[in-house]
Amino acid sequence: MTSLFAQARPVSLSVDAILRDHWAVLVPVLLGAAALLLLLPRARRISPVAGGLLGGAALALAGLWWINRVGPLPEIVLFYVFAGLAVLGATLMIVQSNPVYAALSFALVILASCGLFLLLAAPLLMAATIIIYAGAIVVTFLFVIMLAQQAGVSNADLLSREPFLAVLAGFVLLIALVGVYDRTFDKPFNRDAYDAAQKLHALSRTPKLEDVDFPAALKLADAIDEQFGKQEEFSKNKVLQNFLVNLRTELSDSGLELDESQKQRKLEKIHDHANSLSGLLRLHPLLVPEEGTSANQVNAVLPRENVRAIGKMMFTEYLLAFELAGVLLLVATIGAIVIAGRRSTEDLK
Amino acid sequence: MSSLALENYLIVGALLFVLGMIGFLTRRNMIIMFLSAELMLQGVSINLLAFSRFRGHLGGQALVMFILTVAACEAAIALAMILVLYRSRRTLDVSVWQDLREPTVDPILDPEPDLPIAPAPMPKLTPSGVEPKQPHETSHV
Repeated sequence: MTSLFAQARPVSLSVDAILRDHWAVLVPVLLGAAALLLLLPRARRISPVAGGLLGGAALALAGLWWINRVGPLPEIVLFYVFAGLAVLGATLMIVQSNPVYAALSFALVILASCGLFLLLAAPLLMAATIIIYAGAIVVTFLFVIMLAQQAGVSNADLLSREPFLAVLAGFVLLIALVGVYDRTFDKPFNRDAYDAAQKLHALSRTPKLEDVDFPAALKLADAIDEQFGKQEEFSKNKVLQNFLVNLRTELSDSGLELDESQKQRKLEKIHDHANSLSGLLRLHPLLVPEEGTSANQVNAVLPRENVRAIGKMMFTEYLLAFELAGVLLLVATIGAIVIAGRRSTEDLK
Repeated sequence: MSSLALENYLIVGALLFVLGMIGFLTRRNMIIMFLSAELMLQGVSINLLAFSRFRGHLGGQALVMFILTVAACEAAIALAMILVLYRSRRTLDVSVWQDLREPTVDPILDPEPDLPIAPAPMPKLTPSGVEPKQPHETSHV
């Protein structure tokens, strides 16, 4: 049995094919990795200009890559401004050798991501995050940095540990995440054919071959075939065609004369083919998307009164978690006082 | 209807998470490590809010509310601990706490040379006495 996802798009592992298909993703990501590698503090100082330029180029390329996909609308421009600021602030935060500047860059990240929260229709959380993070946490951090002010610079701030390995690990994770989003995430698909394949799959989920409703299954296979006829790209896809043809041959006779093991094998075959077919149909993108087939676009509606709805939710669905959060806050307060209030033995002497 | 896709927000969240992870792994200042952990939480929050928006369900926003609570608790405890640790060793470098490692594990020494570090630029003041010598810290055990 061939694997389900292996044929969603032919996976080519040759280097030039990957470069050709994904260069628009790879170039900004690699530029970003190089920029970070140059900017992280080292014993031998490298001028931050080169790293900054590389990072800026990476961000600009990534921005162009996205603007190519979507048109310029106010919401989109705002999104890119906030997203760019957030990523810029995050990069500055981890490359700063001075902790005070790092804390201020963190505040920039918080403010920018609050802008994103607002775009995501979460005004209550935007306000809460600004008050709690930018107001309370960052200010407390600055207090601690002042309290624990070391005389002069220290090795700890100027040297980073294993910068190459850490950047490598981080960007491998990033490439994996973005690659998966790019490759599979919620592309529009033919819902009628997919639904029929799903129903077929559900029909064959029985312990015995005799329980399978063959007339209904054949009707569903016909429905899939009809959808295939409607769309030209499906008829070009050999893999999909093969699965459907095999499925129909299996369904053409009900196999009552076979012995038990053969029946079991036949049932498994039907089940597997229906499963693979539905998976492939789900991943087979349409060239001309139908209206409303993609959940990737905003078509969902959130309640207009955000605060009221969240409050209602907190005190009904999440009541237990809410109470536990209150207990957690109390325990954390007591714990912080106990930990920080303890004088070390040196201080007492 | 906007043409911003869910993917955009997910990528921003992933970027913040990855940058936070790199910061946590490389930096040795305890405060910056902690800020990096908060950065990862921020990336996760953006993901949750994006899903909440695009699925039309407020569950994601409620979860971010709890993330905020936990982050506040975490900040309180971590800052208290950082203060205690600073009091006992007079440095924020995590490497000086390497003696907490497993007894069988070798200490991690930085491969980069312990070069003399250029002193931070001091403010230009009228000299009124002798400038105190700056203590030189090192992370080697």
